[in-house]
Amino acid sequence: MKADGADRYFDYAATAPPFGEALFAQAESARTWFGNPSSAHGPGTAARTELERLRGTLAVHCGFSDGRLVLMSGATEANNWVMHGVMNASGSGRTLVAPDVHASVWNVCRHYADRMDVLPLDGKGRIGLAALTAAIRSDTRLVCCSQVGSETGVVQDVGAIASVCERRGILYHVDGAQAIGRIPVNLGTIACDFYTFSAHKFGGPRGCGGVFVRAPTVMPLMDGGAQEGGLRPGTENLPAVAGTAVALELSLAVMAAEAERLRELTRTVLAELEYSDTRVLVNGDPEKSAPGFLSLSFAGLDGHTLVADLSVQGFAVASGSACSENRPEPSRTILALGRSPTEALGTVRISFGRSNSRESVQAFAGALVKTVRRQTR
Amino acid sequence: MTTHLLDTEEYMAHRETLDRPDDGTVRDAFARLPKRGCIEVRCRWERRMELQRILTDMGAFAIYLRPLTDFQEVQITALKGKVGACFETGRSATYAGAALAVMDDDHHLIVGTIRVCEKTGGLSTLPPYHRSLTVTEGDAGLLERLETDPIPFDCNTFEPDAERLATQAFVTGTSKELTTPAFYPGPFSLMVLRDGSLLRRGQCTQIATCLVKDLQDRDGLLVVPPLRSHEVARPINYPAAFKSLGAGCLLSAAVTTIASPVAVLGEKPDVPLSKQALDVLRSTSDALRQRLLRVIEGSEPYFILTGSDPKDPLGCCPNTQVGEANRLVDVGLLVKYRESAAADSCTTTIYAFAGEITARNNHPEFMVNAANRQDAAAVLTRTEGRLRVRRTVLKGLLLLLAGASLVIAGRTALAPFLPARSGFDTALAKALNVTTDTHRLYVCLFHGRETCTACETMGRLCRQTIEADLAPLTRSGFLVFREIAYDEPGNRVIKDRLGLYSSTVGLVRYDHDKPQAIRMLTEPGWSLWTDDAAFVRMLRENIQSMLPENL
Repeated sequence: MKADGADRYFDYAATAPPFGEALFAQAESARTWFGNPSSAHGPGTAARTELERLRGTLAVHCGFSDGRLVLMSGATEANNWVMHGVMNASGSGRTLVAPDVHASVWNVCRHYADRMDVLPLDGKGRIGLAALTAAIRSDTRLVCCSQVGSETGVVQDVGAIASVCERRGILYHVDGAQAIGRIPVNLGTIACDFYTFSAHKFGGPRGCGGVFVRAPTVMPLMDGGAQEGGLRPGTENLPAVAGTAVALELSLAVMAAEAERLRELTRTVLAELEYSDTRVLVNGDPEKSAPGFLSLSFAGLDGHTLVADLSVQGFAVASGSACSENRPEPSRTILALGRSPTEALGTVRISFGRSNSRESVQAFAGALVKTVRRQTR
Repeated sequence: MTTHLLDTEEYMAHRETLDRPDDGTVRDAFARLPKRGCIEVRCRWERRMELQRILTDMGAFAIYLRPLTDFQEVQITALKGKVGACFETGRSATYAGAALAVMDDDHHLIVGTIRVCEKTGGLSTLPPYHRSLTVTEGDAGLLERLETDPIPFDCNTFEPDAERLATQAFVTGTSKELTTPAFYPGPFSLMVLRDGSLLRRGQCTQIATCLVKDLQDRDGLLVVPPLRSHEVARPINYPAAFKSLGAGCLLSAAVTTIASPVAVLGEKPDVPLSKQALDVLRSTSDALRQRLLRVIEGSEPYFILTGSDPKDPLGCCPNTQVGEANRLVDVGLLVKYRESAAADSCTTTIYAFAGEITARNNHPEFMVNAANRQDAAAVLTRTEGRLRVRRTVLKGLLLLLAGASLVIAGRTALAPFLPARSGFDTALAKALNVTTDTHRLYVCLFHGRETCTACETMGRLCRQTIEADLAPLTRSGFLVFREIAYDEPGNRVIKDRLGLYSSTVGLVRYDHDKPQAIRMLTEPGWSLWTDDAAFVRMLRENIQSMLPENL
């Protein structure tokens, strides 16, 4: 498959092709605001002014006004910063984490395995408030989940979860990497303490993301300068932030129109599978998940083999969470939905985006059915 | 399960207090607060609307503006912590004040009783709203559901509520009705009065006198003193504004009949140098005075200071001149163009006289404003002139009266002026109970007829300073604390001569029966009275600098 075959690229949950306008803005910014934002001279001051303007733009688009946006290299760094910071500061306090969180949350929790509790999910991948309430212990200090699950696209009611946490004085961390730019996010209605995001998930540049912070200061992970209020050292990546701001604006501009179109694309695939009488398990509820997400399990098949076969035919899909796809274990997210290991190992994740057309998706659906039949034989 | 009562202590436990901060400092301090907290900002009167806007934009609520020092300054108090989802628990809020309606910082327009979500119900029980809001408890069944399957609540009823309000029966007055200049300090963002007048928080508005008493009693309305009468605007009539602008007329602060008199870069401040500005300039150190004079005499466009204001707890390299220059910015004499927030470098600030900088494309452009500088130079040179004259006199006296040189030298170094025996001297001597052989330093608290929290605190801190820190001098009888009520008939001359308009701490040194030096600590006193340690330190240093050399 050619690298520019965006029409057959169905892995937007791993990364979205960048907007041309974002790349242009990034290049322009690099040329125009070349000063180091930490320098006290004219170009430095100009760069700092621009950085703060962009920071304000990102915050406004996310409905965030009452805390700090700390810019980092992406959601992985931001999740590590939050999780390590809170766990180190909370003594013997425990963290309660959803099983479908990204590896950058889950693997940090494993460092503190004796202080980690796992939230149960219902059959559709949702966190029930009653289950949450029951799982909270007197020494729980942090609750952590994704707003949009990276494998199934399930959307959690983070506003209600935040209210439960707030009433108990528990910190709440939301990983919004799959949410921002895909579903409306208004942090003014989510009383969380940390909310992380990554620019490349919504068509911005890689290496840019951050965390919206309302909680007391968390210690920096690295030693260095006093950038980002002393919370994240290193010269700020102003050009990437410029590209991020443009990408977010474009994503929001087309979000409402795209949502229905992307849902229609998922229905196209499901209809083809149903028509062909293919044995498939649909994970989560595509009608209620973030638009464009489809997680399918084919019991007895190997997800990696399916992905490779489809790739040979020119279609790009994933076998699970992108960052863990080389791992032989079944996806813990899929297992948490009640699937067996055999079913979980035969899972593929399809995630559509703005460059996919109905025609290419119909072609993909046909290819998927044929591939599954061939591998079932 | 019961309604979740918000813990007031949680808001008050996390408090940021700022004294004359710039915009960035306010933003940083508010952002630094945890999810729930409180911020207190003391600022010049002219800065109040801008700071209120910044706080509102950042999600502050229950903002309250308390005028200080006879409406020359304002203390803004605001709470942080109103984010969250809206869920139904069957609560309602009732406004019980004297206005027809009020609007909070989340745009809830409260006309009589309205339904509110659990979150808003909780926020409405906080102390700033106690005076005028009553909130019902939530329904037990709905409260239980918050933990399992909460019912979303649609808080977005602003437009229908605004329309409902516009159709209310407003009391109509006559054009000849008596009016009173009023100031609404908060905590709501605005009030709509019974005659349809729209009263925004922080603005001075002319309202019907017949409405004032009730609003004072039930909503904390304040009457604007004559000093601010030039700022008082005619009120917007809400029904008329709604007819032409719709509900948006409530949201736009621009819908007003008066512009805020805040000076902006590139404009000459439209207020003359205030008494406070003159006081601050007079109390400025020699080093900064010399620097200012060099700028004026050399027609230099600006000067640069490196380091941070010693009051800034986060600043690096504290520089007292930066602190002094910032005070001059606060009182409208100077402006500062750019304050570096570079991560690892020292803060550098460019100062110029007010109205002389414009910023274009991130570059400052300067235009010397001769008239403005003349005002400042007049003050600076008068002070300088007095010192020069005094030094000349001192030389002559040293030649003629070598035996008395020590006394004269002490007088010269300490005294900002040597007044002839006058009504002022007599009144002051009487107020201080000075006898002919008095050789003392009086720590005076000048106050009006009534004492407020600030002057009571200042009095306590004065006593604490002389009784604890400087106890030997106090026991010896050299250091004495006195309170002087400047509104007493016999003390009016003191009030006029010293320009007293609010409670003020002053140091008066007497040698025999003559005042040798008077130092007024108006500005540092008001800046520091909320910080016991800083106030005591400031007072102790001032006292020590006025001690004769043999003590």
